[in-house]
Amino acid sequence: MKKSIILFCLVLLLVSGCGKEPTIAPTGSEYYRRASTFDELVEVSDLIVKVQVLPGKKNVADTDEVAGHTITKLKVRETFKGDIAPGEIVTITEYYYQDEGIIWIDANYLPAKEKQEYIFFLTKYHADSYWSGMYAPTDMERGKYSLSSLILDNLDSMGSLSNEDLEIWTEPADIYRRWYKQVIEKYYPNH
Amino acid sequence: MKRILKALLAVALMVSVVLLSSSFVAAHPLDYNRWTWKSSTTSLRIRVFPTASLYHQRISRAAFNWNYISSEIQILSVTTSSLDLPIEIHGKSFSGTKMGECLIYSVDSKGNYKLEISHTYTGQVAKAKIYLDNDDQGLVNCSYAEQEKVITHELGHAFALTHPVCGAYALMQQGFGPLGALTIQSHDKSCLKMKWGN
Repeated sequence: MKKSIILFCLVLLLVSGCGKEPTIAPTGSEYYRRASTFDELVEVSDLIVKVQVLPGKKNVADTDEVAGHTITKLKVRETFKGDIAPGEIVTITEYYYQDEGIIWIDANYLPAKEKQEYIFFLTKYHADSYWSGMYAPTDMERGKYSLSSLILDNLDSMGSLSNEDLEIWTEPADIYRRWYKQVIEKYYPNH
Repeated sequence: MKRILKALLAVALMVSVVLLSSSFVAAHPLDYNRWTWKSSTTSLRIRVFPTASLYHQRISRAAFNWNYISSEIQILSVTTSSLDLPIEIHGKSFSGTKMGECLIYSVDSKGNYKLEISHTYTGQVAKAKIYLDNDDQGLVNCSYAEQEKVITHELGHAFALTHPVCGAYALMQQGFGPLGALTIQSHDKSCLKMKWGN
C-alpha cells in the first residue's frame, strides 16, 4: 500500500512538473526609442529582413557586469534593407533571458519563437562593442513582427487580437499595432 | 455690473475645471505594484557603487526629485560608503537599447536576499538594485537630462511605480518619446501618492 502511495505521488509530481511553463516577468527597465514613426524605424535600421528563427537559442545569464540576454540565430529569407543576402545567418541579441523557471523580459518584448517567420528591423552593434558582429532589434518589440497566420489572417480586425496573439507583453501597444499594418503593407503585401 | 462680473467669474471657473480635467489623467491602480518596503521609506539612503560613479551627480539630482511629493517617501542621502543600504545603484553593460533596470529583493530570517517578481510580489522588499548602462554606446552618450530621466524613472520603480497602462504623459512611461516625459509629471505624483499616501 505504502509503495503504491509513493509511486502515485511520484507520478503526480512528474506530471505536474512536465507541463509547467516558465513564468514571464518584466524587469523594471528603461530604454531609448530610436524611432518615433514607422518611416524612422525603416531609416535607422541597418538591416530589415524576413527571417526564420533557427533552433538552438543561447541563454546568457545575468551577471553583475553584463545584463542577461538571449543569443538567437536567424536564417534570412528575404532582405529589404542591408547587405545580408538571403540564405545567410544573422545573430541577434534578444531582450530576455531565463533563470530558474522565470523568463525575465524587457518592456513589451517577448521571445521570438523557434522555426517561426518574422520581419525584423535590426541595428548592428559597433565594432568595439561587447556584442560586436551581432545585431539587436532596433526598437525593442517594435523591431520584431511575427508572420504567424493568426495575425496575418486578422489584419483587418487587429483590435480583436490580444497582445499575446501579437507575441508581445501586456503593456499598451497602439503604436505597435499601427506599425504592424505598415510593415505588412510595405514588405509582405501578398501574404 | 456685479451680475456680469459674477457670470464671467462662473464661466472662467467652468473653463478652468474643464481644462484641468482634460489635461489630468488619474492614477490607475495598475500603475503601481502591491509590495511595500520593509524599512522606513521616510529616511531612505542610496548607495552608489563604483561601476555607476560616472552618474553620481545625476543620481543625487534624480533621487531628490522624488522628495516632497508624498510625505511617506523621503530620500535622505546618496553615498558611496560601503554601508548596506536599501537602494543600491550599479553600472553594467546592457545589450540593445536598454539603459537601466530595477530589481527588487526580499530577505529571509538568515539575511539571504531573494529576487522577487515586482508586478506579482505582495510582500516586503528589503532591497532594490538599480542597474544603469555603463557601456560606452548607450546611456553614456545621452544628454544629462536624459540620463537624469532614466535614473529618476528607475527610482520610480524602486518606489513600486510601474509603466502607466494609460496614455498619460509621464516620467514612468518608457523612453523619450511623445509620452515619455523627462521630468516627474502630475500622473507620476498621483501614482506615488496613491501608493504611499499624501
